[in-house]
Amino acid sequence: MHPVSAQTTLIFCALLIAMVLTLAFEERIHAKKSFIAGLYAVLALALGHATGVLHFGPVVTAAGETRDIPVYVLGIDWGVIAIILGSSLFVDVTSKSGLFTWIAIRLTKASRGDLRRLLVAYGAMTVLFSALLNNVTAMLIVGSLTAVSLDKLDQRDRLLPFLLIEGLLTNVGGLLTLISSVPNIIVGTAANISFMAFFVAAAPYVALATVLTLALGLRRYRIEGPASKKDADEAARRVDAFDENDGRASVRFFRLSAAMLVLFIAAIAATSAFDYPLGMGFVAMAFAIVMLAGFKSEVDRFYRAVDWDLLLFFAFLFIVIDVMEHAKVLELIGDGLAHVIALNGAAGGAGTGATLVASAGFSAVTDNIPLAAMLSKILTAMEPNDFRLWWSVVFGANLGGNLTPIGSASTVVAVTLMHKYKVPLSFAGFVRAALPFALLQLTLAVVYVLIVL
Amino acid sequence: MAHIDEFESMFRSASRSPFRLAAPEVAKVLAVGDLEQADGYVAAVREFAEPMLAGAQLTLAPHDVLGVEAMLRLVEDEAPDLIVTYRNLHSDGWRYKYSLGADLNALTRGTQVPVLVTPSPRAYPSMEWRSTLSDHVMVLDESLAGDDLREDDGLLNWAALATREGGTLHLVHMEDDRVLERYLRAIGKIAALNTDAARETLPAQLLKEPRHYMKSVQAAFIEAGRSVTIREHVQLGHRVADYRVLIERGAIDLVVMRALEEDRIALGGASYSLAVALVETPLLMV
Repeated sequence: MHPVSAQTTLIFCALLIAMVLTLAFEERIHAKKSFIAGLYAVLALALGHATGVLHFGPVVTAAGETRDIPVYVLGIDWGVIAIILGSSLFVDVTSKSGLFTWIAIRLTKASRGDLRRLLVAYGAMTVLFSALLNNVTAMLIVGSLTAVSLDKLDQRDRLLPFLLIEGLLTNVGGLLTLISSVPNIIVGTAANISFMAFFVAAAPYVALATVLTLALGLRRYRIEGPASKKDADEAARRVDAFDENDGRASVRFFRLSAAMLVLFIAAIAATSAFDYPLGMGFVAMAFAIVMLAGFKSEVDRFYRAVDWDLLLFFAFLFIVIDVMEHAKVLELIGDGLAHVIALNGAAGGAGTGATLVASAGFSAVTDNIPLAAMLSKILTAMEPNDFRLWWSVVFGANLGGNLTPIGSASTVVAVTLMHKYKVPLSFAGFVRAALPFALLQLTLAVVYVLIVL
Repeated sequence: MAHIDEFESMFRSASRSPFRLAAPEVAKVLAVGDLEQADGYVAAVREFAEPMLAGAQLTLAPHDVLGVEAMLRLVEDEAPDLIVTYRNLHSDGWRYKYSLGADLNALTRGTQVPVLVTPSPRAYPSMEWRSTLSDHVMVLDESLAGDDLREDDGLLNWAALATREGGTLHLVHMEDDRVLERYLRAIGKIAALNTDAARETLPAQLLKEPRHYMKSVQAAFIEAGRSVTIREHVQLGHRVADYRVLIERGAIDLVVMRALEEDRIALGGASYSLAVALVETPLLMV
């Protein structure tokens, strides 16, 4: 690496801070994430070239061949992009089978329309779907069903606690597996944590945090069961009127989707466990292609449904972070982080706890993906002895999203649903309502990371 | 946020309002007429509507109760569960077959009590309808789809009561093809909406819901141990013309329809046109 002057590093540091601030105000300035990250990627690359921070020239592959690959292509973590693209396509095609709506309606019926059971069922479903799909899809499925179910039960006034608790649980569910959220994929991949190791470490926390969140929600919002047997019977009759088979296009496709989903999870776990060289991205793309075979003449329909804003955001973000690495900005932040981590020496685990809380605070006001991408790069370079530091980033980045309505994409969806159904909740109102839950989850996370992991 | 609508639509589509069989109680029946000798008519009504009238006390109103006000006062005093009368009551309109008669119109508008309307005994003195025994009953409604447009299950429950054991209950849901075409043409002019998708999915969805609802009717009859055959007629078509075809093809003995349509106009729209046309078929207006 060429030497980089402190002045150059500070200029790039300012650029990074400007990008983070712009992302924090994306709603205000009416700009999509991918555009913001793209703009800063262009600026960073141009500035990197002008200041001599970037190095150009051919690249030598593992086979010893020399290839001319653009510098911005090299900066992108294509494994992560492949996982997200493959999983999105796979989940989108699978959801067309009616599998997830079938599960959702079966759980609704199992609750017999009792609001307490309904909240527990929807909470568990949110966690499960967030773990299997992604937070946004989970919130969309469970949130939409919540609105329809509560309408059917004449309980529309209970929409606020239901949507709030479901929104908060998406970020808890997002902790369950290595592929449940993007920070998990980024940090887990960088830390070389296998799928099973991730699941075993995170599952007890997810279970406990879910139970406590639901218990607090039931108590805080006084969600009670039916007052009489007559009310209970009427509620049960109403939810029984849902037809779980309505969304099933065909029984064969439905069964195939269920089997493929189980296989997908098993394959991802095996890939990670056996260190398969093609990686999880390949597995996700392969499963997506297999599922698309049933729609081979109309695959463009599914391509259109892909969240290209999110994918391009990742690609541009990786480019920005790569340039920042060359400009030694990450080294600078790493030095600062080292002081925080050094607290571990002064008081057992204080640095790890502080990293978790700081990550959560950062995630609460802006996107948790740049944070995860940046910290994973920094921690990779630092090679810390304390493995819990990786976990503190994972827990902080995921749970921080519960502090504000803009903290994560799924809480944004929850608030959008509230507005759609005319449930008034301001930014401050959300923070007030969510704070007891977020504090409970974060306190539990600090204790869990320091004592259990 | 197109996906919110997508998932919400899926769940709304899966949400049903199944039919609940609950037979109305008919304890008191008031027969209103202007015949000096009404014994034959009353006997014909008893024979025809036996499932509805079994165990009920039938009171024959004096034939000289004239005027709408007096008639409605009588109904209020007697508080019957069902009124029996015939077309062109207190009028010689039966000769022309162009209307149901002003008094009958007023009766259906002025009271919430269901009215069984038979053909005029003056126009058809042999009263052949008595021997049909309400074996084939047809329900016509604005929407028989188990959705918010259907006010309640009352109409169907009256039809269920009127149908004899071993008989056939015809359920009709007719989506007006001309109205649908007008909407589809409007969609064809809106760039934001996919015309081909609308043309394919809208009629399918409109016809799917009544079919589901009618399945729930069948299930309710089976659960209640009723030996009544349910025949579904779910189609696109022109209401009055195609209703008549179905009535003739099914040799229908009794047509059950709403006396007050959605717009709250007594015997308005398709119901009125049909009621006027069906001069030989008894009608139950709920």
